[in-house]
Order: sequence, then structure tokens, then C-alpha cells
Amino acid sequence: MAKPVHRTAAGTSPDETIEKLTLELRRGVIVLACLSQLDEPSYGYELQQRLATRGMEIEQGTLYPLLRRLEEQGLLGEEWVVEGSRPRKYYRLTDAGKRARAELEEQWNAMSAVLDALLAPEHGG
Amino acid sequence: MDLIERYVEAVTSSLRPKRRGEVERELRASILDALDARGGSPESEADVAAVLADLGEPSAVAAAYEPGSQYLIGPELYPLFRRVVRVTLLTLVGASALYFAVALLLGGQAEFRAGDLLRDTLETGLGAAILAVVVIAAVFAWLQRSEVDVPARSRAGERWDPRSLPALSGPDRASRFDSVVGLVATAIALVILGGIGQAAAEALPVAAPGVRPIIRHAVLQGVMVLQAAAALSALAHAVALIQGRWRPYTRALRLAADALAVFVFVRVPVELVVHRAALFEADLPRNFVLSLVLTSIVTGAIGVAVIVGLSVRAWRGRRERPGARRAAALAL
Repeated sequence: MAKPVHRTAAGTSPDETIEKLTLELRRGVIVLACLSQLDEPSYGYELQQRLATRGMEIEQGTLYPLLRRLEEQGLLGEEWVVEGSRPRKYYRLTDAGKRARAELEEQWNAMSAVLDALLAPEHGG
Repeated sequence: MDLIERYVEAVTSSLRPKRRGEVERELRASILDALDARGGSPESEADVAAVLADLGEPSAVAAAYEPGSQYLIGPELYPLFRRVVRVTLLTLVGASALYFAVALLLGGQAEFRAGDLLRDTLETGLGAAILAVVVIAAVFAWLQRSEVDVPARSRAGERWDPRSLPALSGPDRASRFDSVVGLVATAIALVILGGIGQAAAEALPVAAPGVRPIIRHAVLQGVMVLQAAAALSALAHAVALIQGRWRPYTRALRLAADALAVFVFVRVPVELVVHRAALFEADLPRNFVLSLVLTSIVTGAIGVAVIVGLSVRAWRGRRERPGARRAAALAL
């Protein structure tokens, strides 16, 4: 007999809730992760692999639309380059993108320091 | 390659045309890159399927490309949409009942079949209800679409000022909800009145000579006055909606519209009662004449009660908001 799963008032199990919270936490940092790797031009699949080898797994179906949105927001520039017989879309940081990355990096460092302190054992973390 | 093209089309078919071509190119290139990295071949369906499975379901990928257009009517607008639909449908029920009552008057000129009239009224009412819901949904979808493109009310980096909150509902504040409902109800009333007026004009030449003055005075003139009242009411609501508050002249317009409507609601039963002898002499069944007079009196009384009640409420602004009571309690 299947073990009953406790559900919250919102109709989700605690595991599902944790999964959603984790997803939201990651969503916030994915932009900074991408911006951090685009000083040099890079195409979508290459960027995904680079991030993955450094521990930041991002699904392609999430990454490509994100790159497109950042481009529309003026943070990334793009250029189609034909290599062999295949065209590839390369992204790189624009000046606005560089400023955004610096600002986000600063915010991240400040938040990280605060959270480290909050999560330290003496604060009940 | 067929599987790749099917996937690309599935993702991009729901995207806006201006971004579709670019996304198609990029998706194809990315899929081929992923195939290369796996050492797979575009000709191998198994290899392609594995890469596409990693990319994700087309609907989810498409949604990621168009995050702003996922709602037809978003959570911010939905409560207002629900209220407008509810009140519009209630108004339609009332308007259909009114239509039925007035059409009874005209039915007496030809063959009187209450069953047919009821069926016609229900069909018309149902059709109008479906049309109203579709139109309201389209208007709200357009509002939703507009808000997606329009930046937030407070500009980026600008601190939100709580003092910009609207004043508590008072006698002068025009409720956006009341105004929208007023405009929708007026539009529906104008359509129904137009239908009644046309039917009365067609019935006039063929009616018994004794009944013609009643149709002319009670129905045709009444419809014209009600149409004028509806137009005045719509104007008052539209101006109040734009200005966000009721001013003396918009109140006066609304009062004039209400007065005209009350005049018609009182006049129609009075005309019928006064000319009852002509109705009895026009070879109309006695029970029909009696039910006609009674229906017009009841409908008129309901119409007058509704208009007077709404006017008194709007005039005094007696709807007290919980926030106002709480603020008063805190002040004590």
C-alpha cells in the first residue's frame, strides 16, 4: 500500500514545495551566472557546457530563451557567425550588460555575506 | 532532420511572427551543436530524440520565450473581470425579463403565443449572454496585453508613495467597477430597446385601430425616451470613469437619465390602465389584457425601485468601507 503523502493547504507535498523554492532560488542567480561568462563571445550550447563544467547546470530550454530576453533588454549583443556550413549565434556583453553584471555581482556578494552570517550556527541557522 | 523540423515548428508556432524566424535559426543551430557534442547524427532518429528530450517539451520552451503572454486575463485583472461578467449576466436576466414583459404588449396585436415569446426571449438572452462574455473577455485580454507592454505604475528606481493611494470610497469617488458595469448595461439596454422599437414600428400599421394610440404613446415614445436616458447615462458614466470622480454636472446628467427612465416606467402602466377600454374592445382576450396591465405595473414598479435605490446609494455614497471603520476606530 502506498505511503500517504502529506499535502499542504496549497495542495503540494513538502517535497514539491522545496523543489519549487529551490527553483525560485536558482532562477534569481542564473542571469548573473550567464553574464559572468560572456565577456568573450559565446554561442548558446557552448555557454551551457561551460556553465555545466563549472557546476551550474542550466537546461537548454531555459538558457536559450533567457539569452534572447537579455538581448532584448540590451544587456547582450549578438552576431551570427558561419563556421564551416553551420551558422551560430554568438552572444557577448554590451556596455549596459557589463554595468548590470557589476551591479548584480555587488548585490550578490552583499547578500551572500548577509546570508552566511544569518545561516551561521550562532544565529540559529 | 524531420524530427528536428517538427520540434522547431512546435516551439515557434505560438511565438510572435517577428521573433519566430530568429528563434527557428537559433534552435536548429543549438540542436545540431548538441548532436555534435554527443557524437550523434541528424539522420538518426534516436540521437535526435535524445537531444530534443534534453531541450524540453515544446510548450514549455515556447512559454519561456514569451513569458509575458501566458495569461489571457492575469491575476491582477481577474477579480474585476469576474465581477463585470457576473453583473452583466444579472443585468441580462433583468433586461430579458423586461423585454418579455414589453413584448407581451406587442404580442397582443397578432396571434398571442406566450410560449413562443418565452422561447424567443430565452434564445435572445442566451445569445446576448454568450456575446457579452466574449466581448468582455476580449476587452480584458486587450487590457492584459496592454499592461504587459506598459511599464509598472511606479518607474524603476522610484520609491512608491503610499500617499498616491486613492481616497476611500466616498460620495464623490467614481468606482471603476460601477462605471464599467453601467456602460455595459447601457449598451445592452440600447440594443434591446432598438429591437423593441423596431418591432413596435412594424406592429403599428397592422394593429387594431383602437390599439394604435397605445403602441404609439406607451411603447414607441417610451422606447425613444428610454434610449435618450440610456445615452445620457452612458455619457455620465464615461465622463466619471475618465475623471475618476462624480462632479455636479455628471451627477445632474445621471439624475436626468434616471428621471426620464422613471417617467417611462410610470407612464407605460398608467397609459395601459387609462386605455384599458380600448384594449378590451380590440378583440384581445380578457386574461391577456389583465396580465399585460399587471406585468407593466410590476415591471414599472421594479424599474422605479431599482433606479431610485441605485440613485440614493450613489448620491449618499453610503457604502462604508471596512478600512474607514478601522481608521475611525484607531483614531478613537
